[in-house]
Amino acid sequence: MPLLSLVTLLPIALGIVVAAMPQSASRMGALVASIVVFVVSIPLWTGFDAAGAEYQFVEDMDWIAQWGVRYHLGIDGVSLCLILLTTAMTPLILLAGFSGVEKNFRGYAALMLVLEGAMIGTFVALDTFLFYVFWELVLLPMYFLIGIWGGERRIYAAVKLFIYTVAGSLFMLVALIGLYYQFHEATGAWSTDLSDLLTLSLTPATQKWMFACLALAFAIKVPMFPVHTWLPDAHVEAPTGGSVVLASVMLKMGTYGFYRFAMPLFPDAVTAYGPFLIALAVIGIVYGALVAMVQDDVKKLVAYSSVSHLGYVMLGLFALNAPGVSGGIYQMLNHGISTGALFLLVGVLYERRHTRRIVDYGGITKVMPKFALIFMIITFSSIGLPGLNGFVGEFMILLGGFQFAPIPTIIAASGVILGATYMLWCFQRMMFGPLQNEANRNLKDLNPRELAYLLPLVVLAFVMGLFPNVFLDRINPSVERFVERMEGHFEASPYACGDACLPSWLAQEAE
Amino acid sequence: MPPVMDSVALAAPLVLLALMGVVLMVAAAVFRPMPKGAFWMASCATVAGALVLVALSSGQPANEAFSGMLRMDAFGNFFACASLLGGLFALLLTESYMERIGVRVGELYALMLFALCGMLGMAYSNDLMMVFISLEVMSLAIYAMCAIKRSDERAVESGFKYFILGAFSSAIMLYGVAFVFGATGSTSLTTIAHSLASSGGEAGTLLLVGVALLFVGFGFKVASVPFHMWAPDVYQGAPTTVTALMATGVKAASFAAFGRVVIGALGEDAGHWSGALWVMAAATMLVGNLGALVQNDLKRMFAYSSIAHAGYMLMALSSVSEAGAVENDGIGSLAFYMLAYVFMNAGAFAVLSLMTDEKGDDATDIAKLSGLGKSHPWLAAGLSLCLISLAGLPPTMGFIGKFYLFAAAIGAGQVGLAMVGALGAAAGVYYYLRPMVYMYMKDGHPEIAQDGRAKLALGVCGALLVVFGLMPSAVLAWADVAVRSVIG
Repeated sequence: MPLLSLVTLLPIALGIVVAAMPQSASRMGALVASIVVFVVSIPLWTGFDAAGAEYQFVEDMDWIAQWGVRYHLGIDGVSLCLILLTTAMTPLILLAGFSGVEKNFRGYAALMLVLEGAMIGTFVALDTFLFYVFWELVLLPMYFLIGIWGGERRIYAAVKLFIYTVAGSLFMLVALIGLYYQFHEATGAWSTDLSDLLTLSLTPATQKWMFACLALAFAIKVPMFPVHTWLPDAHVEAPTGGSVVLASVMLKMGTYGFYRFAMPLFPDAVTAYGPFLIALAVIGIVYGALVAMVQDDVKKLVAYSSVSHLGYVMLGLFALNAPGVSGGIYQMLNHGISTGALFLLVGVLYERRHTRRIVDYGGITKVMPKFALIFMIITFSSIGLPGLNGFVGEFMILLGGFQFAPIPTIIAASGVILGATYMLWCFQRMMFGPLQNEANRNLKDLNPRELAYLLPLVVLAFVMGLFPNVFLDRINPSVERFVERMEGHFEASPYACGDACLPSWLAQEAE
Repeated sequence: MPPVMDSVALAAPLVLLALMGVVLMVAAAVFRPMPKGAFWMASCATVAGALVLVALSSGQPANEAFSGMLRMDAFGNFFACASLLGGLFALLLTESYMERIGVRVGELYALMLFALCGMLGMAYSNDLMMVFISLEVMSLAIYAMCAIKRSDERAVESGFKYFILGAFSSAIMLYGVAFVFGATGSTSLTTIAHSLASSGGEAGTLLLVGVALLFVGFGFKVASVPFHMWAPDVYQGAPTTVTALMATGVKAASFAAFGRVVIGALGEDAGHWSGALWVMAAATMLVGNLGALVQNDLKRMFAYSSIAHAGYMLMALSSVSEAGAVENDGIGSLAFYMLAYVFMNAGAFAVLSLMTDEKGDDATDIAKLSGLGKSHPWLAAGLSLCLISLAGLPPTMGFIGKFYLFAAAIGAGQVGLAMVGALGAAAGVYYYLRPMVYMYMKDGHPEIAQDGRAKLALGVCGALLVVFGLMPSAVLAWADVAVRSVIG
């Protein structure tokens, strides 16, 4: 049974089925479809051998034989977690959409399912060509989700998202083609397969321009400072479900791209450009947090908090040691849970009041106690309170980062405090204080449907905070292989230049 | 059997088209007013028949016909198929569209068959004289078709403009043929190649002047910068279905002849003119893509889009010649892209032709698409698919084609040109998205004509774009066979 193909293609097929359903049946149909996909994806988790081979559930066959392009799928612990995050979030998003999506739910759900399949595709593809196809495919449904169901400036936001991402992707394409020819020059064979390409030893100069091209494409998706400017627009204008899927999964495609492709393929370039990217990550952490602090639109606040949180992920990945990278991966999942939940919560309020301005709220705890409780837990999860998921990831990242790059990590750690400031301040202004706005007096608390899509995330936040090893056990072996490759390559590389040409802080740590 | 009969048998598709063209021309004079459906049926059957004949001859070894004037080989077959498919799709749209704009003349179908015959001639021609004659057969028919609605000022202007400029460029091309003849002593592509090979690729000024003039002529036909000025006005003014034929069949045939001349005859001399192709390709990609950004009329936008795509395909020709030797991938990517280009344009023009409703208002302002996603979801989805393919995004044939083009360019060491192309393509995404913005994100009540045949064309094109986008191997193999038949 080709399980990975099934998990990837089933959502796309079901999306087409949903598109053909009558509008009235589409709600239940889409929800059932997404739950079916989730159930189908569970055997991936149960059947996954944590200590096993590098890639599991591998499917490998010719696709475009003339070009050596293969349909090569496989997952390690990292992709496994991201796939389950995707399949678990989609039913919740669709459930939330029952009330938030006012027109044409059928089209919305169909696009959401196609998007799910395409995103899973990026996480399972082990062939660069196949990865690129899924990568681009993700963009189309997202474009329509924002452009059709979004807010006032939806067209602007959708086009901006599209142009930014496509511009980055084209650079990635050029680099991948370059790599393809490098492989042909070295071996005489044609291949776009990742495992083949990893055997290449490229000159540092080649690595540098190719890494730069890939890094640009991925950095736009992450998004890293200074190419993050599409994100606040996209988040603010997107419908709730679009924001959730964007934050929970789509941004991870960028960091995953670094982890799976850009870094292992070009380790020498990582040494060269690592300090630069770490600097950008740290700027993103602090800058994102500071900008989030001054937002009066709560959705924009959460959007900028994403820039800050993803900065941590990048810092962790570029720490190049086990705790840092594992923490970065774990933080990807955490961010998916907590920021996804935050967008859902904002959506709940928006549906009731049709405003996202923080000043329009205040004292909401009095009328919506259940909502306030969940909001509080998720806020704590987002700022990294011990016992909740955010803490584990941030702690590991800072631990790993400090071993590798102490000063940037110290600056980054200030982002934890800033994060607590903007989240708690926002919570305080919205939830506490007197209930001054008359319009808020009759707000209804969460209904069972809303609880049904929020509670799983709250539970996950606790589980991931209290039992991180359930996940880390699966992530760590993959991360170790990743770290080994990065380290092993430096020793073996004829181009390794020793301490002399490393920045001093890097040289010290290398000792 | 006398040798001429052999030639006729070999060139059966051309003969069929020409004969049926004459028959329809006479019939159009006899049966007035034009009987509904008959001419359309006859011309469809003819084109389909020609396609079958081309398909039947595939797999046979290359053969020369009419004393080496035509070379019936896999390369010609490939481009003949592309042209004929373009013609067939355009025909599917034609009858009801012409009915809607009030044109009921049988001659139109005769002209269409003549044009297609000319296109096939260009695809198979192995002699500069044959290239010229075929080009004229095709062009004269197209000029007349542009102005077929004589009461429409813009259509007449379009035909007139195309004719004047086209005649001028043909004259320049003929002049170029004369120079090449003077330099090499022959107009046969094979002989020219031999003569260049024996002189070791060292060609005199005479030849260079000839090549430059030939490039002007071909540059005009494929609408490359700086010979593209006619395209926006002509595309916009001509009846939509004629524009569809121009954007598909004419382009395929012109590139077939261009490619044959470049690789078949002049390949040895590449060092002298590949720089010119480089500049033409870069300028064409940039001007086409940037020009399209600001267009509000869809036909005009597609004119600029077709200029941009001509640039991509010139990039392929440029990479063919860059190394001074002929490269398989360059011409293979050109062939593959050409086929993709025919499908995606034919599909898009199917929707454009439906924008002319029963009132005969054939303006194609982009705002007329507003709300199409809601009122005609399938049409909108089909057009979106064509646009996505034109933008070069997966999972469509346009993506595979663009990947192949860029890969061939980078493989030939033309990284700079590929970068220019990538920038152009990034700009291109913006204008291909714009119709989707109107269709799905703005409200309106589009007035769309009902025509099952246009929908059929759109459906077939859309399906093929996805099928060959996901499983391109067969077409790639076919393109490869085509390339080998001319490169050997």
